[in-house]
Amino acid sequence: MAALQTARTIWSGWKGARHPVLSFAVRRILTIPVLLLIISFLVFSLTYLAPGSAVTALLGGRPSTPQAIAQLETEYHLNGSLLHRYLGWLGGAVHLQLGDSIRTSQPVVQVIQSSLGVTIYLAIYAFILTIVVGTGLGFLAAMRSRRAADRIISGASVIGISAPAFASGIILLYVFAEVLGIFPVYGLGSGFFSEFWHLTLPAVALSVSGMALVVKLTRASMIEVLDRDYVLFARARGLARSRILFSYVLRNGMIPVVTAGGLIVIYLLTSAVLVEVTFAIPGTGSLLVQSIDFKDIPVIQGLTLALAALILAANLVTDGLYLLLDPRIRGGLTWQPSR
Amino acid sequence: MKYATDSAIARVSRRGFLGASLASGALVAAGCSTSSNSPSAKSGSSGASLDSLTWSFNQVATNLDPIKAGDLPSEAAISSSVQGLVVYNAAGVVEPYLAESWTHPDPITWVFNIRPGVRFWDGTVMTMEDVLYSIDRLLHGNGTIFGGLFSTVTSVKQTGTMQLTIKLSSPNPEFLGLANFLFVGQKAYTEKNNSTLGSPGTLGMFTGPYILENYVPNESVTLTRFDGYWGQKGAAKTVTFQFITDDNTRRLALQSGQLDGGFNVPPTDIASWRQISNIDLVVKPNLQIGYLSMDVKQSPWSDVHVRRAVAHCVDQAGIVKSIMGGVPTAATSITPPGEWAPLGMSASEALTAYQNFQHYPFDIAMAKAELKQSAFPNGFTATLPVPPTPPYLSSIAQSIAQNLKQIGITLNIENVQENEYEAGFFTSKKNTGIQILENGPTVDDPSDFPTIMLGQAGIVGGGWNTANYVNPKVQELIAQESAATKPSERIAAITEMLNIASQDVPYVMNYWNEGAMAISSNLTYPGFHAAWYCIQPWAAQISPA
Repeated sequence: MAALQTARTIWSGWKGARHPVLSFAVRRILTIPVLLLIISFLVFSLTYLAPGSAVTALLGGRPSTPQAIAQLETEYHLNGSLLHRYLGWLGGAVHLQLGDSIRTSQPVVQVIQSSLGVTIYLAIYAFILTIVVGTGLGFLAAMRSRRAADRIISGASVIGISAPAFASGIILLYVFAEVLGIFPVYGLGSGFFSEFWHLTLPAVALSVSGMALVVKLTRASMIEVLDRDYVLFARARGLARSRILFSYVLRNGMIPVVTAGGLIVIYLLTSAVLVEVTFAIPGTGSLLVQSIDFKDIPVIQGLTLALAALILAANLVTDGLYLLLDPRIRGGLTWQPSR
Repeated sequence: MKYATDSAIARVSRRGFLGASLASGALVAAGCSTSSNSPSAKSGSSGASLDSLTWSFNQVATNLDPIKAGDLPSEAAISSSVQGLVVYNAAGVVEPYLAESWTHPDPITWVFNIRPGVRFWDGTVMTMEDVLYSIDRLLHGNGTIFGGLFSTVTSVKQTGTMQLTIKLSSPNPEFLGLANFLFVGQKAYTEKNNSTLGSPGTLGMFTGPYILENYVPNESVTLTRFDGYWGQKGAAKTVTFQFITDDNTRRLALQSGQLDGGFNVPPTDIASWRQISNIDLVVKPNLQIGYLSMDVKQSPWSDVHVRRAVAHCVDQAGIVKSIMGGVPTAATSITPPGEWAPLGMSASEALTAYQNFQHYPFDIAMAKAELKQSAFPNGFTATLPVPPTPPYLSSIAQSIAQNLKQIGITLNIENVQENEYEAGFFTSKKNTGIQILENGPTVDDPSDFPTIMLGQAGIVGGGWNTANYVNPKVQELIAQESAATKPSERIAAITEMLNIASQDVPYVMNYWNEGAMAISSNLTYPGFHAAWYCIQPWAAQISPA
């Protein structure tokens, strides 16, 4: 009880702290383990409740005997109640021992490391493409509003938003790998630059939808900001065009894009699976699908937790950026009425 | 088994379900055949050797430890490296491998003479100690998936300098075929790396023509030629076995020459892949069978007239032609005709023997007449669960349901997930109802399918008697053929049980399937067997054309 009381004191202390940004960040970070615990239990019980068993998958339809099945169940800790098995898993997990994959017998940490690296590389590559190309084109469209360039960019982004990643992937493969022969069709290569080369088409395929969204958001937001009185006033004051664009228009116009940025990271991480399958890249998406098919609980648990942690971190960073960009929101964080 | 693909082993689907669903749009079908292609095989100077060979599979390997490799891509990944006592040749007949000869003195005893002077990749000579250790690990090791398959083995003993004697608790004429799974690895290496064997870094120490060099999980396995191999060496110095789950991508990679070939081309893609100019498709029977199973213990399927009526409603010719691209053959019995080869009977002789069985031609009027004799003359409603893979099962189910509607039987197709599908009837044998299945062979023998599908022993969790069918006469025939020593006795007993099954129809046969391999026109692989490639040393058998 005392511990709880202390926690409450600390909590309320943070709530009313002098540094609203810091207290916000600490509160958000403290909730992450709680969320991860809830997610781990939900995923574990859903996998547990789903029909089928890893032993059936392991045996691959081979004739078997009850003894052989019992032996495999013991080997992979597949007997016992839901709670018993979950607590067993949790006991290991708090010591960062996530066990071995049932499907491949490799340590889960190793399995996740090898696939997560690829997916993060791919997601960062695609994210940079999305943001740089997306805001660039959106900005251009806003500046050339209702002229030819704007029409072309806006039209293309409608197509981009509606194109599923696997379809654009196949089209890109056909054009750039098959007809033009510039890029490899599949695989990852080895070494940073080879991987960069191999991941270019996948990253483009993955970024198309998000890019189109960023174009639309940037364009709409920029057009709105360009119409604001303070922009007109800045022009009237005779400020340099570049200063108006970068300090006034871009900074204010980027707020919705930054918000979308968090969503885009989540989108890139989760829809990587389609692109990974098309380009035969051994990332987390394809790993997760295979593990779910196999009821490979240790990998499913480890991987969903790693992805959940990444997504929570992405949200945290987004909100942090949001605060940096918009001082008004910083003020709104404190619980006292604003001065 | 259900989606087995061309499986050496009846197996649970290593679903290529994403591959399948993503491949649905033939997005690149148009215009593909026009592109020019560079020769894909990187031929050496003489043409007799290759620098490298890049081969593919449309599923991902799961585990490269031979005692845990339960799926086709895993088996194929290690089959040029890991060797058993015997191996199947291109005709599906057992040949010497690590055992150079064998005898079968009585129905429960098998004596293998182990090949002397065989070397492991590190140069050490294989000893009987390695053989005994490896077999014990396969039968009883932690995590082995072979415990059930070899449950009748009572003892494994060394009975000579290089002689091994295996005793069984009951006669099993299929045991010689099963001996292909009795893999031998180096004892010292395996003991040291027991739990991580097959993982990157500790891939194993074996005797095959290709060394397991590198493994990137979910991506590829790299093999290098073993120059100290005792048998026929391979042509390629290095072989990359690449996992590409999307068949559209695989097709593009073949077309652009980045792949030299691949296994497991989906039957529905065969026609379009034939258009690729620099690639040949080799299509052969893969001993897979597709069928409906009806629970003979459960109403309304317990009524034989109902089962016969269903049989009359299956348009085999239409299924083969319209749904499966004309690739498989309409089945007239359970055992594929190619499985009789080990008993010295040809496929055409088998087909002639099958003509005497009871047949149920596709005929709605006959189906109606048959249903009139049943306890459900006006029909009934039932549910057929269909798994997502292979994708054509759903179309076959729809076709059968449409025909059944005409005789008053409403068959609701329920799409279920693979796990749910397995749990529904494969794991527990209660109320299995009507099922649609695809099953692959465990061994190449005509008794392979009928004994597991008709025998009482198959009515257990994980067993293949999905119809819960029991017939004392069939049990007697199974006992007879197991104990028989002459092929003619076995042929007679197996033929008779197939005949009984044709009258009782616990299973309605749809097709005998075929499997396809794609191979660069510059290469040849004459030993390809569509069911057994995944246990043959394929990397050593592919050479410049």
